[in-house]
Amino acid sequence: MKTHLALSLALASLWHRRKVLALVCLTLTLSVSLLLGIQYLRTEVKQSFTTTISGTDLIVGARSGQLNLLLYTVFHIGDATNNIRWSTYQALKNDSRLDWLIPISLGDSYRGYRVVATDENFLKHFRYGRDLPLALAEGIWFTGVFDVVLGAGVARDLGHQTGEKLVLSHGGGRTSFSNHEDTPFTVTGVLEPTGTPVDQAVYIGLAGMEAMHVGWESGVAIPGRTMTLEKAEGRDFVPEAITAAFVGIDRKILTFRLQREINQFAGEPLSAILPGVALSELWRLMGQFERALLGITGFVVITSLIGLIAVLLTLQAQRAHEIAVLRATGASPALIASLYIIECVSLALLACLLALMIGAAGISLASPWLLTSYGLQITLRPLTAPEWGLLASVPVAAALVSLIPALSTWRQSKTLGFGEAADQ
Amino acid sequence: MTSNKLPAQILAAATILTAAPLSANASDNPGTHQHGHAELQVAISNNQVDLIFTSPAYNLLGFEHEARTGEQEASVKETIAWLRTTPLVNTPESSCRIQDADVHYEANTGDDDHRDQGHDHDEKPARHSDIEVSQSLTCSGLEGSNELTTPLTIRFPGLEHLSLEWVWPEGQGSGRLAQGESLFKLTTH
Repeated sequence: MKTHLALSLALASLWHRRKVLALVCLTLTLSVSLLLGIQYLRTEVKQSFTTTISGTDLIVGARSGQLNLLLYTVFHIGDATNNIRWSTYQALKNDSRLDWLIPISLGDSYRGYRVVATDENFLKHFRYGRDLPLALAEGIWFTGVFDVVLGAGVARDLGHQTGEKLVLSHGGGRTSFSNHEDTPFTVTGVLEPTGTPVDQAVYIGLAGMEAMHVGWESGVAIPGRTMTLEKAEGRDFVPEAITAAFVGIDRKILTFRLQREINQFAGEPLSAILPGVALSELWRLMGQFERALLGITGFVVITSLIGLIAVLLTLQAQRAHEIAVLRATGASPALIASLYIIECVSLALLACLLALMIGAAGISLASPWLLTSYGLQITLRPLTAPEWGLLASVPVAAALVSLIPALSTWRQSKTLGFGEAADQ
Repeated sequence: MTSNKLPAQILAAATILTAAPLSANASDNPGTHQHGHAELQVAISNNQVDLIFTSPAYNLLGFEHEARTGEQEASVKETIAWLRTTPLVNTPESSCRIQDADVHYEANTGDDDHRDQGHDHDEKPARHSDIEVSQSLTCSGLEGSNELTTPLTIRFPGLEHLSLEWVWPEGQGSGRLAQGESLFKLTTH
């Protein structure tokens, strides 16, 4: 009965001050949305980042550090220090313990996007996210020497479609003056967006990469010696070297043993890295930034809670008359103090509810835009236990801060003179 | 190019900040050797565990030269026996049994003319030496659990950091244990 009375009194009091409290509630809602949003984005970005490549057990390249190898093969950042010989790739391919290999050859570009020379195994075996395969949004995977498949981001940004002809550039860089004009490539397909660096590259066959460099031995095209579509017909182009290879192993228990063997390969110095291990190390490096971000958001929530106390204390000064009336009608000091706590916690709960609604609406509206503009795949999912914990901490903190006005009111109302009688 | 610009910048910054470690066991380069630091690689499939542990001998024995006193000889024998008979990773319930274990240790004899790399040893300049252990284990109750322990960081006070790398059905991951910490959680990343 007493609880019921306290609740109805508190709600009536909240309704009475709705204009001022709506503003307080808005501030609190915004800061809770920010806190929850940052935590949510942090886990989603981590998930999206650490699953940029999945299902690949080893990446094999020329001897280098694991982060360097990961960055240039998976993220298209930086350049390879050396290549690996085609014969080495063949030797690895003949090892029955390695189930599949995806060859990768880098070095050229198309209007600032990397050209990745590979084969059909890329489409067949490359996985990202939670074991998601690549798929073509339109067209087919390349089959001819001068066929090219575009990543979703390239097709979107440059507005290309299947059937168009592209001239790839020699070397990297956004504006290249040295273009493979004699060997235009035809777009045969466009990949589905993945939210990974796969979207930001164009894919050709190893033969295409080799063919377009015929006559370029001196670094520039020698007229008359370069390949043309007609000359390339029926010819077999075998590369001398590739940049790296993605490797899949069915018996995962052998991963470390195979890594060691490849690292000790007698033919040439190689590095085999575990992409998952390299990704987790890279994320650990960046972990400091995300923790700092969460810390700052925590302070935003604390600031709005302090704002809430300020408002409550201001209101308290104006409530002297109301409290006197409540006391005169028989309300105990404890009941009056509990009013503050109930009001404060209700406001916090309302703010949390609103923040959840804003967050859910925001993510569902912004996720297509984030994928297309930033390549970030953020999906709506149920909150995790730590996120619920973070959310629950807001009403708990609100209950704690409400103790300040509650205790002082309790003390004041006791001195009003009817304390003892009302308590009995 | 608008997409991936932001992560690209962060990654570029990260590469500048990182001194990427070169992998050990090169076919033509000498392997890395860092006192106080060791590496444990664990591959898990069903209830099978395959592990490789590599450490400078100094971390486990306190010296890297050939055993010269009876005490040192006993210490080498005892350590190698321990490495051969103790599962280097275990479930919290200690359910792992060794199927196969191999300890590789070649103490340097000290008469090699190889120059020591600035370490402060009292004996003649000598090569570094490593201990490499590989074990195959069977652990019941491994499926469905993601917690493992290792006795290494408790058994060897000279081991300041143990780098962990693992491959398990959920994916690959890595971690690091400090001296005295024995429990680690397998996470995907």
